[in-house]
Amino acid sequence: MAEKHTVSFYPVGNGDTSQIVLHAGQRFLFDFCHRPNAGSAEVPEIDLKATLHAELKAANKASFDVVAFTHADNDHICGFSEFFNLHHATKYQSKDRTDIDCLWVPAAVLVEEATNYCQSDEFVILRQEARHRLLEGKGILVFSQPEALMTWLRPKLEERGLAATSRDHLFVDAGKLVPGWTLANDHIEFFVHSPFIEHCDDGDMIRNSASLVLQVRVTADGHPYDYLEVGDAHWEDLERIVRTTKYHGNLDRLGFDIYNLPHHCSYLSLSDNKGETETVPKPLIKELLQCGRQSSYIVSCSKPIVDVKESYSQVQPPHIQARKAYTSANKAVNGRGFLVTMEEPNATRPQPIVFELTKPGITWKQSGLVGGLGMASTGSYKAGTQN
Amino acid sequence: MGDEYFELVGWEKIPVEAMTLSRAAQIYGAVEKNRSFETLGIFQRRDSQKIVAECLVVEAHLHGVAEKNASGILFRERLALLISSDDSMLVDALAMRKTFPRLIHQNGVPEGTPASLCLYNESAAAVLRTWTAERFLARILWWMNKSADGTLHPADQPPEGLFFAANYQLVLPWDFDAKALSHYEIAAGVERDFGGQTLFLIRTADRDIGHYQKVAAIDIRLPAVVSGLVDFQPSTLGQLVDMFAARDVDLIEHLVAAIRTEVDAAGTSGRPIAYDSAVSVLLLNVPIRREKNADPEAILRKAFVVKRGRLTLGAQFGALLIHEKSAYIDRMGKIDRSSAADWRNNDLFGLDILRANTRETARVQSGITENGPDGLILGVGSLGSALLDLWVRSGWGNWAALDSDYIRPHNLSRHGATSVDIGIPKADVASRRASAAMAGANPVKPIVADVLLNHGEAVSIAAETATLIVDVSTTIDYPRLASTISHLPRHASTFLTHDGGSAVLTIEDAGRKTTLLSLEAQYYRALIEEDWGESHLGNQLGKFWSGTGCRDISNVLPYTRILSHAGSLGEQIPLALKNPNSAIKIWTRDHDTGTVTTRELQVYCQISLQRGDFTVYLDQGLIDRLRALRAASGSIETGGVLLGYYDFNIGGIILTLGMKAPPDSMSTETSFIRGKQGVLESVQAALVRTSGIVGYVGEWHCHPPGHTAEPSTTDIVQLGKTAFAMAEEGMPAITLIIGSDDFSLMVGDASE
Repeated sequence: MAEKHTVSFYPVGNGDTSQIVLHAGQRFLFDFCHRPNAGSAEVPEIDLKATLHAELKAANKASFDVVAFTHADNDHICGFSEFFNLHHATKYQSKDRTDIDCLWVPAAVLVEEATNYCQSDEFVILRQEARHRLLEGKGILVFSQPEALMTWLRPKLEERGLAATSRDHLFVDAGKLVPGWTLANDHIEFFVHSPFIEHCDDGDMIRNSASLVLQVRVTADGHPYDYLEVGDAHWEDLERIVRTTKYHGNLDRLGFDIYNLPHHCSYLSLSDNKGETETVPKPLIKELLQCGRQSSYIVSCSKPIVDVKESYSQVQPPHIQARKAYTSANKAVNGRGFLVTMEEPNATRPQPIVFELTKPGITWKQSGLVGGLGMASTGSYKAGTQN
Repeated sequence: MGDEYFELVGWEKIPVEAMTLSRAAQIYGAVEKNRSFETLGIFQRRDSQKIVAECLVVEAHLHGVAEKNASGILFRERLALLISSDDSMLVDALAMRKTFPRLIHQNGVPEGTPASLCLYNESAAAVLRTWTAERFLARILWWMNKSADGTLHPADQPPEGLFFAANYQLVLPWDFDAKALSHYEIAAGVERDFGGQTLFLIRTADRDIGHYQKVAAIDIRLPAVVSGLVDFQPSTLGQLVDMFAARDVDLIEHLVAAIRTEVDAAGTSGRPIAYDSAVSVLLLNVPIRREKNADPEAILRKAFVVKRGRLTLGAQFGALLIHEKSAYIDRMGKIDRSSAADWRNNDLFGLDILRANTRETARVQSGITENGPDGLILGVGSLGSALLDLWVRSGWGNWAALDSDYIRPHNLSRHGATSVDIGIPKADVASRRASAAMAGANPVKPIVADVLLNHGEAVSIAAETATLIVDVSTTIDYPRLASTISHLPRHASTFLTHDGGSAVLTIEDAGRKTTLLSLEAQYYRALIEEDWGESHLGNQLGKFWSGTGCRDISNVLPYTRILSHAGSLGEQIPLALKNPNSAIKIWTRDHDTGTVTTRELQVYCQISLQRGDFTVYLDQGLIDRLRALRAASGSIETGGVLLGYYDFNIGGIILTLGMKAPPDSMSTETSFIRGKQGVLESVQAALVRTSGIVGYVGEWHCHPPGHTAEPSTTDIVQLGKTAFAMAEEGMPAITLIIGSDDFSLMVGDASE
């Protein structure tokens, strides 16, 4: 039987949730965004909890092998504390919740104080869970090992009578492969581009800059495919990644067949200048986009991006000028297209975008849930005599 | 990529506003909404100023097609969507890339023209019922995706043919494989008004009707090829050879070898060319693999008619030498493989090969897995012939049919025979019908005989060859007779009630411990005991005279009811046969609603006792019932009337039922006097319910606890009295005594 992996993007509005499912069954979830009214008749966002539950049930699985939070902004963690079994407190545990075999977080999640402007209760819960798992010494990997974190960790370990180095194996630095997963054994590997240590140690930590940025490489019957997952990185962060990667001669670690573009198609991930009709990417960003392979896809985890006059003056992402830049870049490498999670198959009832990776190539099997089946698949029919 | 595309010739490019056909406008609108399509141009075609068609040339972005798919479909494909002004025609989708692959599920088009996608496997009318432009575009994407990953052709569907379908077919006999080397002729069927024709390859020895043209069948077995690439119909032998060369198969080598084998058999005297046929049929047998290195899954056959005999064809190739009007192997001859070779120009006429059904293929088509029995069906009247027809056509069983009757005009209202069969024995008609249905693949052996008068013959045939005898004689004589002959195979017997309301099936156990005779008696017992028995046999629709003889009277019975029950029985008898136990089953149909209810009776072991010249048949169910009555009466004796019937043809007395004591009976611990209250009415009712068969045959009573069934002096005296009474009709009487653990049975015959 031909080996087939899938990469799925879920329509969660201006938010991120994607998942890799390997042919052998392992599941890797990147970010989680289920807003309170998702799945209701009022909004087009998918009911992520129900969708993931159904997928796990169909696969006869009770847990994700890995759940990675690229950073702790609300649009990347929203609702996670109601969905997952969390080890640090019994009130977050029940048989209806889903287990995380291994939690991946950037160090910033553990270090950051809850004083940022977009702090939320859930950010605190995630920090508590990550700290708990780190202290317990299992079920977690932390990306980068900044001194700020070690300053907190060392005394805690000492209290437990443990050596200060006893958790070192749970840290992964930029420029390294994530331990535990290899192409030879698992047909998947993860190359860490970010965060760098100084992201958390320069005293003025910016959460987006300290995001987890990974290149995920899978092989299907020996043929490699790359998925670039970049969190909410800004153009400066990305330029730095490109510069560093080039410096180390690792340019192929920027290659991608699927690019999960950063920050919901914000122009700020391309340049500091939005541009009138089309954002012109900064030189190194352009180089990055040129790393897209023939037949590659660029995916924007965002609301629909319509090409009307009003869109050009819109402040919040997604930005139409950025869409045009990405579309041009994709065409230039003979890619297959630029897709928006909240546009497929239509903006009223979007469905997950699922790519299949097999030896002959990458394919996107478009959702057949249109028309009557689309209506039947959602609860968007509403009737009544009063508003 | 520098791809080259076909140009539309004879079409005029028009702006969107100039579109006139509503379906063209719908497709344009759908393309504009669908991000997987992009309009490249709009064209129009006129015939004498009348717009006959419009065309959208679009680029499809095939996200479901992998870059390196084995089929060779690209991510971007240019398509021409041709919309006819005739709304009853489907919209054609043509792939305009000149190098678009030839794939399965394309419509046959001339070489050098755009590939035409075969998007639907339904008729145009069926497609148009729910056709929308949006669905049409989705269907194109589906076709491309499925074709690209090789799943358009379902995995369980046989591999696709090597050539696009022809409208002309050649039907091979069902046993062609076993007799491929026979001599054949071709019979041509009618030319169909809507095009095409079916021809038949017939063994010369088998022909009996029709007009024939002598042909030589050249059977050529080729090496295996991979399915997938579908070719256009070649029009010359040269093209055919080239097509196989492209699949690494040297057709010439195999063709020449087949011709040489024929001539070789003639030895040194050669083969006179006067015997050469005017026409040859090249029968190509090509093993088909789904993938390279996979085992071949099927042998694909294709026929090509060449207007040349095999000897002259052989000579043309340079494989044979014609000398003094005979053909010899040309040992020195060299095959001419040049592009200018004469043989290349032989015109070819392609025929798709169809196979007459074998028993095995008929079973597969019918969803039947068992081969079925070597069976003898007794009676091929209305119901019997219908059952036989169902089983023969579905390949279930290997049958002989026995019947002494012949077809009369009135039979045709409920028999599959036709007017040409009138006067012909029904067994012969059954055999003819089977031959007509299965072209000899499942022959029915006719036995024109009366099963009772000639039962010796029937029995010997059956005993020697059959594993099952199905009695549809609609008499009670044969089943009873067969039950007395121990070396016969298992029997089933079936009949319909007078009005066709119910079908009754009795089937013996595999070891024939309980025979049809006992099952019949147990069926009667249920008719007497149970409520549904009151009307089961009683309803009649009427009778009619079918001839002038006293017996020429038939029941009114519609064919619809016969076929309805035949459908049930045709399915249920094979099912019942899988179970080694005996069974009594009844299907009753409500004619107003068509509802069929099923009833299965509990079957008890048959008991046979010899008493003088008589064999008395009863069953454990009868004894169990009497024991229950005995238990219910406690310490005092009880008894009652014994019901059953006589059959002097088999020397048998068959007991059915012991009735409970009438209320005016007098019982003590040591005596029982049967009363009479209600007895006559009960016996008469039993007679009515069983169509006059089951009546009074004697008495039964029980002995008190601790006593055996040994008859007392009183019992013997009473039997004598009963026997004298029964002798008034010349019948023997029965006394059945139930003891504590045993029973005894006496037959008293005072008739002589």
